[in-house]
Amino acid sequence: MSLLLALINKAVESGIIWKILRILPILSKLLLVISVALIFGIVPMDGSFRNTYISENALMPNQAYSQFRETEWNIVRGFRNEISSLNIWNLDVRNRIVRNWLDDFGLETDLFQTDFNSPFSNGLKSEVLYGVLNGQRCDGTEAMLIAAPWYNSENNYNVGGVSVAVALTKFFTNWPVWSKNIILVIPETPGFDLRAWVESYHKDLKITGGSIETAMILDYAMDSDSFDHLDVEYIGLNGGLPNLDMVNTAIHVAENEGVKVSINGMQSFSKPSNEFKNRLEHIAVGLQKMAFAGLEPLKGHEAFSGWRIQAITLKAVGHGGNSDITTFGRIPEAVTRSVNNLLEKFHQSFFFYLLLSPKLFVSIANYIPAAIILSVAYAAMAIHSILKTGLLTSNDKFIDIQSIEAFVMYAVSLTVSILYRQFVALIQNNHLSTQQQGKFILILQVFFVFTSYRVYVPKSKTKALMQAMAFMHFSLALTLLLALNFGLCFGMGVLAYPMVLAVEKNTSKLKQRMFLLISNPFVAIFLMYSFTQDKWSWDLFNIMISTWDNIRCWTWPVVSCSWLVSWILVVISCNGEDNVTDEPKRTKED
Amino acid sequence: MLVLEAFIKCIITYTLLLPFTSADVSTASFEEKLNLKLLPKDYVLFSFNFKLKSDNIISSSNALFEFKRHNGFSRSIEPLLTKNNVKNLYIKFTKGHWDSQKWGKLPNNGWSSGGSGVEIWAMMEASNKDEVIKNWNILMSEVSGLFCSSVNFINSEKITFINDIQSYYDVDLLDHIPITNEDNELFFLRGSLANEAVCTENLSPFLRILPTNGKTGLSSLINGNRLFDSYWNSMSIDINTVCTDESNCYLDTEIDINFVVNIPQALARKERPTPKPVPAEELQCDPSKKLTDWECFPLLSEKTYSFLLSDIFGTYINDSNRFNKEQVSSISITGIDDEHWSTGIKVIPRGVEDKEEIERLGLLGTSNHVYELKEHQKTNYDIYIGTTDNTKVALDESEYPPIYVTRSLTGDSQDKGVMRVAFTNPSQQREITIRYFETLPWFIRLYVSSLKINVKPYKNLNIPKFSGDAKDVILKTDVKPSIIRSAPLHMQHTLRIPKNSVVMMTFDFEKPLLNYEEYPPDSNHGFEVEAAVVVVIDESYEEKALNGEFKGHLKDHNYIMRTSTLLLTLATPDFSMPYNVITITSTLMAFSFGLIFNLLTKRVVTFEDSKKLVTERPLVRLLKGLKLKK
Repeated sequence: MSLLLALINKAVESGIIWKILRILPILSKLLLVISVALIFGIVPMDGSFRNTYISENALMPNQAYSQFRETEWNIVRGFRNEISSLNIWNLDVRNRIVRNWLDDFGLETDLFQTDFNSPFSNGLKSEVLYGVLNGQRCDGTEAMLIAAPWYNSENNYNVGGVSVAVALTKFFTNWPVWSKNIILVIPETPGFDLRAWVESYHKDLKITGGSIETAMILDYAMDSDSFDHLDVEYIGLNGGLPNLDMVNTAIHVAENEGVKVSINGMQSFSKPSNEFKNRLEHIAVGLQKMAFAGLEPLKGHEAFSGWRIQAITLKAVGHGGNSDITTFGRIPEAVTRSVNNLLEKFHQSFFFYLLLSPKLFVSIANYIPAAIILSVAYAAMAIHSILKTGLLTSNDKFIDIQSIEAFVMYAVSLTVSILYRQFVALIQNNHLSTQQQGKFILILQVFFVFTSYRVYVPKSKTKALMQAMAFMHFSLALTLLLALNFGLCFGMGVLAYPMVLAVEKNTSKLKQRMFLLISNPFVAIFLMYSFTQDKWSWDLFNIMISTWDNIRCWTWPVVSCSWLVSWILVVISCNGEDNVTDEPKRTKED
Repeated sequence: MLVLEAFIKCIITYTLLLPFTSADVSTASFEEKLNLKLLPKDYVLFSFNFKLKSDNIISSSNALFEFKRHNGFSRSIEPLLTKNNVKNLYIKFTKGHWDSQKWGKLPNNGWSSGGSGVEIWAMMEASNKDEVIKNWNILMSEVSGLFCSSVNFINSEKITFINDIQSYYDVDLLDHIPITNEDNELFFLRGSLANEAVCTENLSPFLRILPTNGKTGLSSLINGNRLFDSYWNSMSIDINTVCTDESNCYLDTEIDINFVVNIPQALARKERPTPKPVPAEELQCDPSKKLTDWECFPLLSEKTYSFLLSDIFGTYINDSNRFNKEQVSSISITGIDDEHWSTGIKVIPRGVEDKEEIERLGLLGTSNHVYELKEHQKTNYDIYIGTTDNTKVALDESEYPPIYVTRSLTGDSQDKGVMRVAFTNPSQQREITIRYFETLPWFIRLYVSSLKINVKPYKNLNIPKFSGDAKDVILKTDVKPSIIRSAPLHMQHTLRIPKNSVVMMTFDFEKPLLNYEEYPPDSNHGFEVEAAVVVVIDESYEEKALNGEFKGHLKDHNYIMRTSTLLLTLATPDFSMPYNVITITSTLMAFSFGLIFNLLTKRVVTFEDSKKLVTERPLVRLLKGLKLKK
């Protein structure tokens, strides 16, 4: 203790604290650089990642011979012929025909009607066919789920997926080994209607089969007998990831079947996984998917986020390859049999990880510091702004008209941000297309950046206080988010950083406004999203709100309650005049 | 010495004379029956029923020693009961899911099966509840030993006392139960272990109770491999003490073994032990769909097959048993229509062992599909069942269950949950009255007051919907609150379910944190919560029974069923964590102690003063002195 005291005394004596306080803005930039370097430099470097392994011994993937082969192939084709001819029919006809088959296999089936009445989903009505296969050795408390949407995320008719799912279910009825129920779900799309079904399953669905442990979405949207490689998608909503064991099992099984595997659509099997660039790309895409989960076209596994269900999407990519459609069926077969072995729930392996290739991962301890450092970078700016107010050093009263103004502005921007959704809903009513609405929102941001100084110009103390609150608010928001949704946290932290540059002293007005503009949450997310999607996605904001309304994707509330609040405060504060003598005074100088 | 000699002589003469002196004839008897009920979708329910009656269990008081004859009645049962003052004992082992939508009512109106796991009911005589629980615990230890099951874990934390006995027990039989002490009362208790693994070692004690020992008669068919490779199986033993008069009491025992097998699967199992894909030539394809060498749309429904019982069980019925002299063992096949189904019996004389020779033996059929095992010489039997159209199996209107119940836990948080129970009355003609009997472990802290109830129509039909207040559906509620770590929550709701409607009840509950050692092994699996019992009451019958107007058996009037068990997930600690936690907490405590200790013992001085003070420390002064000396 006395050693620590001596150190503190030394620090105070040498005035190093004041020196650090003076270079806080530089320190903040340095922290940003460190944070980015950590993720994109250190993490993909040799030594910080590990090979994946199956942590739960009971899973034993591929220990048993997969039987979905030989004559099952004929049956898959038989179903495929029928299903492919169903394409011309409406959903209810298709569902009724397939339901008859499932009934005949001995499943307990039902149709679930979905109905969305949020203004952002245009009264979407749909019907989900589902059936429960009661496992022979099952007590009805746990279930494994297989889903095959009629149309996949790219709106292609999922003929292979549905046929494999139906044939596999028929095949499963002959097995006496199931110790968990098997649920087959066939929604129209893998999006909102599947989510609505899952929500209803946990509320008031007619037939249930116990708590769902795992879910696999089969996506084989082609008529071809063979496919090139398997893509595993696993990143759920709100930063939720399936247990690493689940992903590993699927990848392990697929590779054992001789199928090439990619994750997140990264077709990297041609490149060696020992290449730094390849791992870097995987991290970048992984983070982007995590940040934009729910906003991109839904693959299916997102529907299961939030109920402790380990969900993945298995997607067959490419016509005509080395693997055939029964191989695709053997992957869910083997995974189902592995999961069937489980006595406990998935808990052994990691729930927070980044995959650097299908078989390399980095656990949370190695990448979370980046997000912590990032939030410290904003906290440093907040401290810097507090010092600028002079409240700590001078003997002025803390509460005066200027500080009250600052607090009022904070409250106002918080209210405005929270009510932004209602505001967007107002535009909704005015017969604008979603594209036009998006453009309108963006123009509004530009308008706000360049004209807000005409409405209100804060004094220097108010300005500094507002900045302090803005950065502190953002820093706290990032800290809260960092373990929950690392991708979103990191993305927001980096994209919002121009805010910090805008408040620097010696920036020209135009440069400042440009910094403010690109750090606007709407503009930044829009640009980033359009960049990753490779097209201008004007309807992004509508997607953000409708995913919040329909599938509980937090991106909208998180952005509007953290980033938008800070941004509005920073914009208003930047309108203010600078105080010439806002250098922190030193109390003690030798 | 002389006295001893006389005493021994006396014993010897007594034992020698005993068979001649006790003149009463043995009343023990044994009956066995097998019923095969064909169910839709190629399932078949095998119901084995064994009835055993013991000899008089009341020993004549003038006998010097108690000699009890058993005459085929198991010796282990009687001491089990008398020692702990148990009058009636019902033990039920059940595993699997009874699909009542497809299969209809449970066998015996549900009275011969329990909830998934083990369920035990006992009628016990005692002076007070403490004594009952004490006796119960002893009884459970003995039962657990006898049936190789961990029922000894059914302690006071799990047992419930039953209030409305008339719904679960023939009240007029209460008069036939002998009470040893006039001051004592009868208590009816129930306890169960959810999802206790039921397997072969539980079956063997059942077979051992039978006088045929599972070696001969119908019981020779039963083996663990077959019984437990079924979709649903249940083994139950009901022991009742019945008295005809003061000095004439016997134990009436009924053993029911029921299980459901899927015929094509069971037959395929014989040919291919692992469910491999069928060979191409055996594929049953739909000729109306596209059919090529590599494309086959499987033939749905309407298949033909035939089988012998020996194909399913792997063994013949081993000779008629010698215990039931008056009654012959009988096998009946029900649920089929004569046009598309045929049955027959094959009598295989002893000594014929050649497979082909057996195959050549002829079949004998009867029109009512009832077969009796009559041959008293050593003979084997086999039963044949064949069909030309397997879809021609239908349940009668009366065979559909009067109620469907689903029960589940919802809510995804770690500290709160919701329990949801939905009762469906599919009948369009009449409303039903049910007793919903729930026992929940103490760690589900259910708020009885949070009950929400709503009534929805079952099917959209043109009959008037239920329009009253949903609360009126509940006729009566009994609640016995749980006591933490010692008693379960027990509630019984009597509900009236309107016709064609679904009554849904939801309760909120809280999930507490448990003590470290209270977690079961494999605690990440979750906690099994036992099934709830639902009895559909025949009200007019119950009223008559209570008034003493005897009107048939309770089991014919009331339908009893169990919901599925539940899996409750509680926040589970990482069990290696305590050691880490201990280390971290100790470190933190050391830190905070240091800080507080410093604050308490040291003065707070300004920075300048502290420098001055430092120079005045004795050690510093000594060092300075040393320096000066140099």
